[in-house]
Amino acid sequence: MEHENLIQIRPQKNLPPRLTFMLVLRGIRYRLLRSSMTLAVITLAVVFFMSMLAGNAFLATVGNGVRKEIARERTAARLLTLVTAKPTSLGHTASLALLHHALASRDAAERAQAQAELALYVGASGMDAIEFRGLVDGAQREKLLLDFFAELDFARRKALLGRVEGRDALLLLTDEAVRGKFLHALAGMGTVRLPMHRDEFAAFEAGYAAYLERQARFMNAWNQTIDRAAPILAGLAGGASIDEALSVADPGAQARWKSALEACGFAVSAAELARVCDQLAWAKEREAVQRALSQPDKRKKWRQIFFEDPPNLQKMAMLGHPRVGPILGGRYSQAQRERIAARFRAETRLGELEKKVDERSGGERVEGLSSRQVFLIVISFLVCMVGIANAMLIAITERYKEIATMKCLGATDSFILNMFTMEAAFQGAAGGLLGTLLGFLVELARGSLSWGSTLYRYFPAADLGQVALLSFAVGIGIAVVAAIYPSWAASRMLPMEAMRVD
Amino acid sequence: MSETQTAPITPEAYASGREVLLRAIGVQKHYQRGSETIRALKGIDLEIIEGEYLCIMGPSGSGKSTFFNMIGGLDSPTNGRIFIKGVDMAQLNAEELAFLRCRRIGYIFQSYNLSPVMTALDNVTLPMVFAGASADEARTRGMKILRRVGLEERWHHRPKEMSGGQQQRVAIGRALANNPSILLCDEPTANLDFKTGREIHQLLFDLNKNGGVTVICATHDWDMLAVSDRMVWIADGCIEKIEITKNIKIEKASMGGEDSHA
Repeated sequence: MEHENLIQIRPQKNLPPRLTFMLVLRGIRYRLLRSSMTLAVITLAVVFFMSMLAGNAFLATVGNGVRKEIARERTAARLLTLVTAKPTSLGHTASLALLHHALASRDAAERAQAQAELALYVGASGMDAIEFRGLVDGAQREKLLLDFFAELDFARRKALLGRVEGRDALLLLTDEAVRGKFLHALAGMGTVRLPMHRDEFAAFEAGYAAYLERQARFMNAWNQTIDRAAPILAGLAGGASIDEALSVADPGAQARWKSALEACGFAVSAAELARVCDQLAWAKEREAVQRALSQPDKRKKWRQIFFEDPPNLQKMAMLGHPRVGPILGGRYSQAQRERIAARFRAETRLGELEKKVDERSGGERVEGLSSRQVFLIVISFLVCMVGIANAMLIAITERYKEIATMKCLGATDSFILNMFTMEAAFQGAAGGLLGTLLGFLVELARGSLSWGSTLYRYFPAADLGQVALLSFAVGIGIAVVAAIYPSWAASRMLPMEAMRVD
Repeated sequence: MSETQTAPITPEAYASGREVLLRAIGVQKHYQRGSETIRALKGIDLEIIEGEYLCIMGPSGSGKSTFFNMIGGLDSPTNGRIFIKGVDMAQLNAEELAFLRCRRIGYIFQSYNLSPVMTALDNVTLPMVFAGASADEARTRGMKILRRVGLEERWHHRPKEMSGGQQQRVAIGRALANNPSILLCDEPTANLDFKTGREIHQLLFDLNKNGGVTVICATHDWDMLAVSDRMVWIADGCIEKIEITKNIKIEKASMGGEDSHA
């Protein structure tokens, strides 16, 4: 063989990804149509994912919107409680824990309101801001622990704490030896966890007496504020109760109230006070109308006109009907009755929406996915990936000749691997796009059915954009992950197969 | 029979001073099917001269395809060695084999195996892309090759818009893409009618004689013999005979009879 001149053979270079991409791009129009099975599975998975996330986004924004509206509707009640009520020590714990929560809210308006409330308390308490903040943090921990003890079942509570309950338990646990035993017993229960870290718990218990003392100081100061304010406000009301007086206050009277409240240490804006007055007036008006509607001597008239005597709430809703006027003896004009009926309906609807939000979210604030939803999504992805991998394996088996021929023409294993992974990414992108769109439409239809126009009032466009991007990416992601094995199998195919004739 | 198995290269070939392109020494191939060992090739020695036109014939199941695949670097022998221009193919790793298949060997298949989603030009330039040619260069060379196989006008057609003969021409063009030393044809005319088959024979003959490319053809088509230099007859895993085609042309009729019982 010495007379033969050796030919030069080097390792074949891999095709750069850009060129592989171009090759895939060239055929993708045809491939996408042929791989409809794979596409369908990806689309389904993404529809599921998208509709779940979009549904959550709807529930979260509508829920928060409705809650905020309701909070606005209760401005009057809040103000009246604030300026007149003397909460118990535990009541202060609860309200300060709520304040702690609101201070960390994602909603800027809610945070600002909480800051204003904080400033009000600081002013009344005679403490500096840092000391008061410490009290708020302590209240949040105390609330967590009290809730934790309250939610323990009887047997466990007995085993851990004996017959002691509530604050007594917290007081008992300030003793280090008792606490050590308690923590040991708790660790033995396995599934039961303290709502905070052990060190945090120990630090809280160590400072518990000081915390209680500080809270008592705040309570005293606050009670004094209320006591100081009472005669001033009563004087302004001039004999009537505060809410009576506010319900009839004209703008001039409102200004006087505002300065009086501020002098007592309760900060309130003019707009807020106007709202309070309006709500109190409305409550009075509604009560009067309701009373008029439910008078027993009117029953006969109701039956004559409407063939029945409807329940009171229905009567309120029917108030705008022209024939209800005569029943009320012309005390309200048609326009007045229509206005009252409309406001009543809006109030009822808000209540219904709140109920629905609470049902859907289990009373919790909706932020992100629940663990059950995550579980469902993971399972659906796994099922889909198996489906995609299977569909791709079939597609690859059908394309054995093409793959083997490419290898005969000089394609390396990794080129084939890259090519099929990229094809899968394209399929994932197409399925992701389709699924995102379909999922969005499905959820929009469902959302419109359950929330009506409220949905469009709080339409979470930005959140939906994020969610759509995410589910598009998820489509590509699951397709690529599912394609790993089939692509590898394709890359291992023998070039010899190209010769096979079927 | 034993002397035909180690039949020497034609005296003319040596006289012309041409070199051995491919050498097979004692090639055996065994398959395991269940507990049974199938001896597909029982020891084949063959030398193929640069620039010759060789037909490999034999009944199906004779081991012809197995041997053919080994020459093309698609399969490796159980025992024995195959050298291509002095390089032992068994020593090559996957990437080197890919390099060899890309630049040294052109493959032509019975069912054309064109990519249905690519135009004629894209099909022809695909091996150039694998070899790292630039897009412009590939295009220029691809058009030249299409002119060579007579399909310059149809460069933008996809396989399903072309007849079988035209598809096979595109496939031949693709096989020629990187100027290979060997054209390996697996029953190139089996799916074509007589007349189109003859055109393909002519094209291969032309490429062999005027282009200097070595053609190795596995075929059942006796008509192919008319254009080839030598014929290797494989039966039952051995080379049964090697003939200079010039000498057997007159026996064509009787060989046709033999074909029917094979």
